[in-house]
Amino acid sequence: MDSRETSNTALFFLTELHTLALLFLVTAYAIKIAELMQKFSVETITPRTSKTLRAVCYAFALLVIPWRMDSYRRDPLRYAEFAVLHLAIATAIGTFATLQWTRAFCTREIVAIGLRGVFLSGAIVGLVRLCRRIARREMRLISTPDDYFSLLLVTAWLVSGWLAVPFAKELYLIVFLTIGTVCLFYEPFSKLFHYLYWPFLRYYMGQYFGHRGVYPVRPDSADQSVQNYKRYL
Amino acid sequence: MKSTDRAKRFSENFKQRITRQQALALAACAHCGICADSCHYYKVTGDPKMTPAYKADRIRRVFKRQFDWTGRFIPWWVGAEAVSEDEQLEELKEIFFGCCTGCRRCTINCPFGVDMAGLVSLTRSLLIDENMGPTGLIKVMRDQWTTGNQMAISDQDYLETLRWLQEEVREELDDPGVTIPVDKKGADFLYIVNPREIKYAPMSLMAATKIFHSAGLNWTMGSKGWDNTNYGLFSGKADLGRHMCNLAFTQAKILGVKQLVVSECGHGFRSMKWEAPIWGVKVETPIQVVSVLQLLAELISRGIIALDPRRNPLPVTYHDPCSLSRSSGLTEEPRYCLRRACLDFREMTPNRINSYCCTGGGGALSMTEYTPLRLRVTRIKASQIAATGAVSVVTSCHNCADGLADVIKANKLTAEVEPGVHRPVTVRTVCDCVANALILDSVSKQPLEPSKKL
Ligand code: SF4
Ligand code: SF4
Repeated sequence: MDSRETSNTALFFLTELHTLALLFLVTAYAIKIAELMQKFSVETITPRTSKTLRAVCYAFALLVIPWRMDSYRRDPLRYAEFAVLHLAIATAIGTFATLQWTRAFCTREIVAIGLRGVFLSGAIVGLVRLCRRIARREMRLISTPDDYFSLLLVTAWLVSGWLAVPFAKELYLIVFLTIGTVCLFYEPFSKLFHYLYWPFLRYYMGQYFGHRGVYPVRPDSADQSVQNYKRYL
Repeated sequence: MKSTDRAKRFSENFKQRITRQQALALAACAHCGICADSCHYYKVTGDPKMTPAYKADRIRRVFKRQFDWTGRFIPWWVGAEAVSEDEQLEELKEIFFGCCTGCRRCTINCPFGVDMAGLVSLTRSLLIDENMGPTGLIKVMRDQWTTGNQMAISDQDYLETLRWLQEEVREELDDPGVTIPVDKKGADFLYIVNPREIKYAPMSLMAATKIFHSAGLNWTMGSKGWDNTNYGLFSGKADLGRHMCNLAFTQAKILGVKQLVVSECGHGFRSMKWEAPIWGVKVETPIQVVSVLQLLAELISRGIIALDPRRNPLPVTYHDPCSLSRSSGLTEEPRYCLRRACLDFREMTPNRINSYCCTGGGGALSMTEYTPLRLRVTRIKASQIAATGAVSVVTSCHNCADGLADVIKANKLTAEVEPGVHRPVTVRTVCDCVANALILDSVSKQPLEPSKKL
């Protein structure tokens, strides 16, 4: 294959198509958020308390303090999976979005090793999750074609990222950029968009539990808590 | 396929009523499955159709068909499906009334915080509007609407019971001065109870009377608006929720009290304190809603009542009612009281906001058609209790008390009372433990030395 031709294709992806994909994604974000605000009115919530802000922060912070969640405390491996996969996806998106400027930086050995490691571990987790989704009955029952396809797509993207780094081989680079572009165009129509809703849900959750004194969960003893309460009599 | 009228109305109402929080909960689920183990229904049965995500998906598909970009055009790709037949509504009924108590254990264990209870509430209200509510639940709702209390207790029976209880307490304490005041103007607080305390478990109201009397509190009960329970919460019907709250707030206003003290009822407290504003209950003069647990903790911490924990010498454990712990944040007050009222208090694992439902939540006790499954899933609570070796399981909710009684019966749960002697585990309330430990003749004004168990 003529290397110049290939370079031009890569250049097209880098400058045109992937910019278009990013623009499309941002537009989709904006439309989805507008829809959410317009179509659904917010359920009346209980009055604010002085702890609301802390509770909202706590609801967000639970992302990085998984031991406060019973599900992750009992299954830390699931949290590790979650962290590795999402870190890899975030890295892939970041690399994809900035590659036209950071390509030289990515070729540095240490950076390349880091990127490869992140992509590979993310891809392995993706495969593990795919196998679990297929193998376990309770997972199969809640899985839609979109769930399988989204996971497959993301895993393929991470594998291509692992192969492409340090972005010296044009063919791998094009595959990485192509799958990335497909991901970005597909995202708004799939479960991949779940992260758009995450901040909203955590905000409402923090507010809801904060007003009621459930969040932030304090490791205080019963005695301290009662002494700290206001008087009722 | 042509939709039935019912299905059409259901879909239309769904579109109208869904709130932003519910829409988010339906849109966001990533089908990660991490919530599965949080649910007692799934954990005990192992049935993949009992995972919270699967259950939520039954209504999620309706949402996706109506609102999701892909779901509108390629529904099968994202699991979207319109409701078009009555059988689908039957399936929703089975799941949202029979297989979920809205305990929120999955919510706090979901990385997104998908609120299952909100979805339960929405779906139940839509089904009830289509006359598809379980008979028992509908009957209780009707009783609350027509008689103002969930057990249709007549005014006469109610007042007679109060008089009888007053006599009982007088006799027990050998104190003719004990009263259960009714409609006393100028009282500090109005005490509202669960009708179970009038009909089946009067010991609980007797215990509260003893405590209030010993503490010298200026309290009253109401001749109206005395039921703190609220089937508006279990049915998702805000109008009934509002009605029940209004009955109590109106009575409080008439009597000029500043506080409503809610007896040991998880959902009753939650409804009065937290759901009332959501249901649009407007109270002109501010009336503070307090749980009796908060009151007891304060009476003890200020030394207004003194307790002798040796009067409750056998090991006890505490069951956190979901509505008090996960939906109201009241986890420490009952522990504070029990550690002072009982000699041997043992924690269940997991506890507080991670505690498992007693299986009787969400109005499940009134829906007898689902009892076989409910009794089956009691196993998890039973093993939690058994692991503590406690002779009594204490709770602060009359609904949970009934749920726990079923847990004990269904699992033949016994505990060793003395070496070699086993007897069925008993269910008690916090008020009962505190009243039993009360030092009646020497009401201390000094805080009691904490028990060694602290
Ligand atoms: S944990 Fe939350 S996001 Fe995951 S399947 Fe359950 S409800 Fe959905
Ligand atoms: S709210 Fe409780 S009962 Fe319902 S699905 Fe979640 S964990 Fe299970």
